[in-house]
Amino acid sequence: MGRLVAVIVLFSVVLTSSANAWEKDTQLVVVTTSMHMLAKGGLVQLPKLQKEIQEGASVTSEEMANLYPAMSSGVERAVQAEMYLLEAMRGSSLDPYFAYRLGALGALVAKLTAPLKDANPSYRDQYYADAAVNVRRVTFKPSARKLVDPVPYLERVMRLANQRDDMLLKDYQEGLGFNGVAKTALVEDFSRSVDAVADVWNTILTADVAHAGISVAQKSDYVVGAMQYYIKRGNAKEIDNYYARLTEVVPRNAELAKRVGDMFYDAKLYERAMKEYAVVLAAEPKRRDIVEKISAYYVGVGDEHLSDNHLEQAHEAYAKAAEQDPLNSVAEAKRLETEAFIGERDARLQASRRHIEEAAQFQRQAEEFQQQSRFADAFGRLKDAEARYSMVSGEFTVEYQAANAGLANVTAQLRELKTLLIQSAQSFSGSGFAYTLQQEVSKEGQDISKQALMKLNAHQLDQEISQLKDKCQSWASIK
Amino acid sequence: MTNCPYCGKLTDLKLESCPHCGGYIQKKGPASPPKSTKGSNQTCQNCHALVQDGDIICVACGTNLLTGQKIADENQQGKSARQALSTKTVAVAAGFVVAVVVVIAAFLWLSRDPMRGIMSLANAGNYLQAGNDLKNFVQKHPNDADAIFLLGKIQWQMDDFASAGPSFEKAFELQPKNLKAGLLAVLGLAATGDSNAARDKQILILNKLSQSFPDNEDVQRLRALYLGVQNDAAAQTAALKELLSQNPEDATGQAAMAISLALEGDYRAALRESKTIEEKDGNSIAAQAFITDLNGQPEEALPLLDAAVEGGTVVQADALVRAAAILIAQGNFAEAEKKLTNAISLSRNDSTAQYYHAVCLYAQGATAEALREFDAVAQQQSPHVSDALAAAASIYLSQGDASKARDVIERAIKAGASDAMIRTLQGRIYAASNEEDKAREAFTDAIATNPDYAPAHLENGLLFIKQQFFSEGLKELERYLALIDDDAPANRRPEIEMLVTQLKQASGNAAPSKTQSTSIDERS
Repeated sequence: MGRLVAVIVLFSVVLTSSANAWEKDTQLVVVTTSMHMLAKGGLVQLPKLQKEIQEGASVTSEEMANLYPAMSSGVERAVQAEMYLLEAMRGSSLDPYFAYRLGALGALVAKLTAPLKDANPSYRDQYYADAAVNVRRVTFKPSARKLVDPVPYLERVMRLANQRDDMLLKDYQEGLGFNGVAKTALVEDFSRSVDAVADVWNTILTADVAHAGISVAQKSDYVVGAMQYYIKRGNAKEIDNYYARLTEVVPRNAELAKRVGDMFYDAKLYERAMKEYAVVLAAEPKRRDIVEKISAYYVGVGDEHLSDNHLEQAHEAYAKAAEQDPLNSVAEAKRLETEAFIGERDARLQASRRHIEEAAQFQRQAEEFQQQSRFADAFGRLKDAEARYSMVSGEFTVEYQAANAGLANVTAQLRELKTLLIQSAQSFSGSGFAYTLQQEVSKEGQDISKQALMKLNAHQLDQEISQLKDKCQSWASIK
Repeated sequence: MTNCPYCGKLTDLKLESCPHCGGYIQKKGPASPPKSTKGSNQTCQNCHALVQDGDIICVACGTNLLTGQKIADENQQGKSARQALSTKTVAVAAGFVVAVVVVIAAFLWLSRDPMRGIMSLANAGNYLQAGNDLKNFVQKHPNDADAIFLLGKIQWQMDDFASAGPSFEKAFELQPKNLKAGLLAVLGLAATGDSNAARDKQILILNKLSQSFPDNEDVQRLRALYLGVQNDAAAQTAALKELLSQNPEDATGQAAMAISLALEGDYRAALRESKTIEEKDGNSIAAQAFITDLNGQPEEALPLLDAAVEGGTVVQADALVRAAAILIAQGNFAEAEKKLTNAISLSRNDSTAQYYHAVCLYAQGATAEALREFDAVAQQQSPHVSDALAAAASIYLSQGDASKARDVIERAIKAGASDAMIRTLQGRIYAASNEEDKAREAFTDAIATNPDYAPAHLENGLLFIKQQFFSEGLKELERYLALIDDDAPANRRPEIEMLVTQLKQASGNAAPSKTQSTSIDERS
């Protein structure tokens, strides 16, 4: 409850401060100028991170409230806390998130160091608007850099920034507006802000002071923020780097794992999220929310695999879901259903493989028949092979490709066989002729029998005449 | 050379007897004048007119038959001898003598019996003179049946059956009840050759004899046999029935009856009759074999044909050729070839045997030898010329020589062949020469000529297949298979049925495979 109240107060402060500071553009100019100035002073890494610095300088009031939870105890304190935190988290090289935080801090410092911070809003806003118009035309007057103690430094700078507030207000009240003191003092006011930002950054980047006051929670928040930042950027390498750094800087605990896990989860980096949740569950096995989340995640994973027909993966996911949450009846039902699908699929796969094997065997038989010139049998076998290959569906890529290749082969064999058949058919030419000769001879045969009987008839007559001649010889006798 | 005085045919003077009729040939003296002795010659040596024993002067020319000189010549020769006689006196005396001679000769001529003389000559064995005298007599007495019958007998005795036949025939005409004249006329006419005219006469005589002498078995038997040879099987059967009703045991009648029934087309009755013959020789076995064959039992006929050949039938060659034809029909070409070789050795000019022999060689793959024999048959006057040429063309085609096949087929066409077989062969020649349009036309023509000629459908179908018109090709091949109604290896039915199945599968017309419901093991 207390935390909620703190957030509400901070938010109202930020909202208030957003109205009593340089306009966003002016802040950006301040921050960018500070960056270049420090770069000239030797911090050459900063311009390389200009984009992230300006991104930080452009944070919304809400984001700023999240970044600076210490704002409730005073902006200067918040700046100090942030400076200490950044000094603590500063590594050997600057990273984008660090630059982002520098940019955000620069914007906050620029706000603090703006004139008329607590003046009448109607003149103040007019002044800031005018300043924003004129700030790009002013010539910055840099001063030497120094390491600063944030609170007294900022209090002094703020005092200096507000010392001409009355004159500025008077000009605006009298209608002179920005053309009065404001215009002449703009260079000084702008340079002050730039110096302030530069000094704060310089202190963060170069101070070699260990601040014992930085809590693990702060560091954790920083790291979590960094993780969130990098997750949003979608840079896996940066995520990995900071995840490693997280484990270095912050002892792992369930809550942190939960936060990181949620971040991963929201960013749809489910695998990483699950690892984090696993850590949570290891520490707190009965966390129902985590169990349900993990189980739901795996059900989702299973559904995706199922829609892609990756049955094993789906089954595995559903099994994990059910294992994580035995009370998840949907997960168990889907696991069983997928198991059945796998069984059916395996049966179909076996059938497809069997069809391919049988088809190949038919092809081999067809080749043997073809070699023996048993074309009909060869045709039959090839048709059988064709039918078998056609029974293989596209469900199984490897088998389907094999079947397609087999079909193409069968088609070629059939074509070759057809050509052979047409050629061999011509060898039957003349077959019927030999048969005709045979038939004609057979028909003529009966004529031979008739002729022979007539010859026998004639022979009988000859014999009869011969006998009668002998018999009648006496009739022809003269005596 | 001279003509035989008996048969009138040309013969050699150096021979003692005529080679045609055996008649004695009287040799003429080369230069010596013919003697005018009465006993040795009854004609005038100058004019050859008939003279009689005791004649002194030839009444025809006035020759002195004793001296051989004409009276006028004698007068010329006697001029010097009788110079003293006056020409007038001699002429008167000669005229007187001549007149006396003529009166005597006329008396003798008018008072003589010519048949007695002829009979005397015949009885003395002088058939030639007797025959000549009788011919002269018959010329003057054409209705003298006895004289004509005697003339026939004399001619018969002289073995001049060709002359005897018509003589007896004439005698029979004059004496229709003369059985001897009738039968001798038929037998005599048989020697005149196998002319239709003679046969008609014989049957006419036999018909008359049959009516006059219905109980004479010789007449009935002979008539029946003649009717058979005359190809009047129905009349022959009727005659034989008459004969067998008189004498059921008549062996010749039984044998003839079987043949007659067969030639009449009643094979069953013929077969029955042939089986009743108890004493069987080669010829009766042959008759039974041929009748069995005609009865549609060639397989049963085959051993009978072999037995007939072994029994020495007169139709050995026919039996061998028919046996070979049966074996060819059975596809036993090797065995058929042996029989045909035997038949050809018995009858070298049997073109049918040669043709069948060539068919056997062709069927056994001895195409070179077959080609030679087909060519030999084609050179002859044979009913198998066009078939032999067609076969030769087919062999050339199978050897891939379409050009020679074309030459041979053109010879066949010139010889008058134009049937479906020839047109089909022409189509094959065109197809082999890639003249597919002409080939199609020839096959279509062949089918139009004879829609049941199977090879035309086969070849037409194969041409369709070659052109990849499977549907039409399959129809023609199936028509071919429908037309060949037996399983002779030569028509290659199983292979062509297989081809049809294959083509159906190749063209996608085959019935769905059973394999969808059967396993590989079952099908293997």
